[in-house]
Amino acid sequence: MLKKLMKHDWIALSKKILAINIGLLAATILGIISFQTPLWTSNMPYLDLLAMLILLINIIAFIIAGAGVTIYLAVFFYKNLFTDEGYLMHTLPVKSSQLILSKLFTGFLAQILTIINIIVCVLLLVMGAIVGFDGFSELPEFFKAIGNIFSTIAKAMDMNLALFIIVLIVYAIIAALCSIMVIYGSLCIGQMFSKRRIMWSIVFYFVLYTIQQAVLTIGLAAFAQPQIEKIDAYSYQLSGSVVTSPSVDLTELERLASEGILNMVTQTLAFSALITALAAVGLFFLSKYMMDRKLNLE
Amino acid sequence: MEPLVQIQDLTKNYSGHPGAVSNLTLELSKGKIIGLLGPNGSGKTTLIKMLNGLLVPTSGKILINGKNPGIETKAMVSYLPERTYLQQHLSVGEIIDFFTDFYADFKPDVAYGMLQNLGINPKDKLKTLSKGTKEKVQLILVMSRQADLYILDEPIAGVDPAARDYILRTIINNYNENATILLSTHLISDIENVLDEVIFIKNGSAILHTSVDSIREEQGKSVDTYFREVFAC
Amino acid sequence: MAWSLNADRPIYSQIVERLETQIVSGQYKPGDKLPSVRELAAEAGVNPNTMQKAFADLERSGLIITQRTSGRTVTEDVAMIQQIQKSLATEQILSFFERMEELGYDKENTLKLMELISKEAK
Repeated sequence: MLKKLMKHDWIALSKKILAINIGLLAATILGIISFQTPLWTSNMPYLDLLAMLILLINIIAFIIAGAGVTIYLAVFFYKNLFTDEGYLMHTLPVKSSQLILSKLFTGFLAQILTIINIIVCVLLLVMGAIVGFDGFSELPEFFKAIGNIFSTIAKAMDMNLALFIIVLIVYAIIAALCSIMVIYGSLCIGQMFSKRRIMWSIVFYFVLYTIQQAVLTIGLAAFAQPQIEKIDAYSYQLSGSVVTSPSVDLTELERLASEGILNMVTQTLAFSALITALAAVGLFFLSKYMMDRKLNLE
Repeated sequence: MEPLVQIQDLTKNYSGHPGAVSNLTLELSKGKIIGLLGPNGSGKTTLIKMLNGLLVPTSGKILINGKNPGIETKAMVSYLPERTYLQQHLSVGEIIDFFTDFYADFKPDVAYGMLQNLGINPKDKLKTLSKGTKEKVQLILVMSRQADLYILDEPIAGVDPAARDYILRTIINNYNENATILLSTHLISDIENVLDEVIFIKNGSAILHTSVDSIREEQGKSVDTYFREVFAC
Repeated sequence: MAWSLNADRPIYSQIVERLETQIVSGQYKPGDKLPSVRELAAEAGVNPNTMQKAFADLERSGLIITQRTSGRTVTEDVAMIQQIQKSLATEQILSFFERMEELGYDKENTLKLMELISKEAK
């Protein structure tokens, strides 16, 4: 049954998602083409207005792709399960957990495809700009630079590049799934009230978001602490030795600092993933409970 | 024979509306067309929601074929709500696919046959159809299932008289003696000829459950007239 | 179109009367096959159980015969049909006399008036 639910949810979602992503691609292609013309560099009047227009179109397309998909997922969840359509969905011979998971997985797919599209479009725009302004010959430099950034971070984290990329991907998947579940969960919590349900959903979402941010900030401080102590200790050591040796080696200090920041960042990311995951799992069971025991369609 | 539906001491209290359903006890047997009659706010809708598993009782028991409302009963119950509950952007054909996927007892050829009789094009999107046609489509979907219990909530309310005749004839034609049809409606005089039995619901309880002909014999009036007496304001 | 049925009398007895009328008047001839319960119920706009009950009544009185393989047919017993025709007609006449009495016509005057009108109506 879960597969069937996902099939039909995807049929419903894909039309709009496809439209948003095609729109983004179209804006990107427009941008790339514009980069190949003297539009951006000439001084002729009105051409810069056209350039502004193209820039605006791209900005809007990216915003719609980024935020629009998430908003649309929330709207679809609410409409399909808690308005008139809910009379059909909740009388199907399926479990409420299947209803939730189906929307979670299809929403995740929609989100991931859109994110990939966004990344591709950004890359294409940058490449288009490079080709347009500096010529094809500069492209290999660009790719090398990106490769370097990844390698540097990976080395700093004492991981090989492949592992680093896998970690990033896993983190992205968890983050996407959990953030979607948190939205769905907030909508379900709102349904437990008898009036002004959407208002309560939004309130709950912001409360949860604020709590998450607070926990993160505390966590950040907590993770920063040991790193700062390490640096302090070394500095103290260093200041002690200045008296005995005239030239001070700061490279170790620099290394500690960058290592410290990196550790802090990775620990915070992991901690944040954990928090969101806990929230998501908790909300999943709360949502299931709501649909099983507290459902009351208008 | 075991009754199809057993309801015992069913109660539903909402905050702000206690006793929406209050100690309601009822039995529905197989092979009958039963009218659920009562004014707005009498508890009909609440009862129907509980039968469909859309609402959880505060106390009391509901058994459909011996089972509590849940996934198994949802596969046995075919429900026509009062509202348009189908995704409007889908075509009629796509909705038939949907029902075929989820309901093992759904017969697509029966549905297509009825659609053809009415000249409804399966490629048409729901949102392009008139209100009356939408209601007919929903009824066709519900009656194309081979369910044990059909629950029809106001099936003829917003429809013209010719469409009403068609809907009532469809209900009669799809009748089978192993299934029961529960019809909730305000338009009593239009449907009482089609009913075997009627249930009067008042203030969350069933105050009467008898056959149509009994009322006519004993009271010498139509169910519609009798209803107006019983529920006079 | 659904049959027009009186709303304050039991449905099934009205169906019995109507079927009896159709049989005695020759709409359904002796030996004719009757439509199924479901077909007739849909045509009449009534509940199939009610139609079934009416058929059962007619089977009891012998006007309709149910055969396992060929369904329901009108009896071939012409005498019985005529008997029922006569008794239905008698009922009508008796109730007619009653109504005429309400209008102030006794039986004699009723018959006289009937002859008069019958002649004029030619």
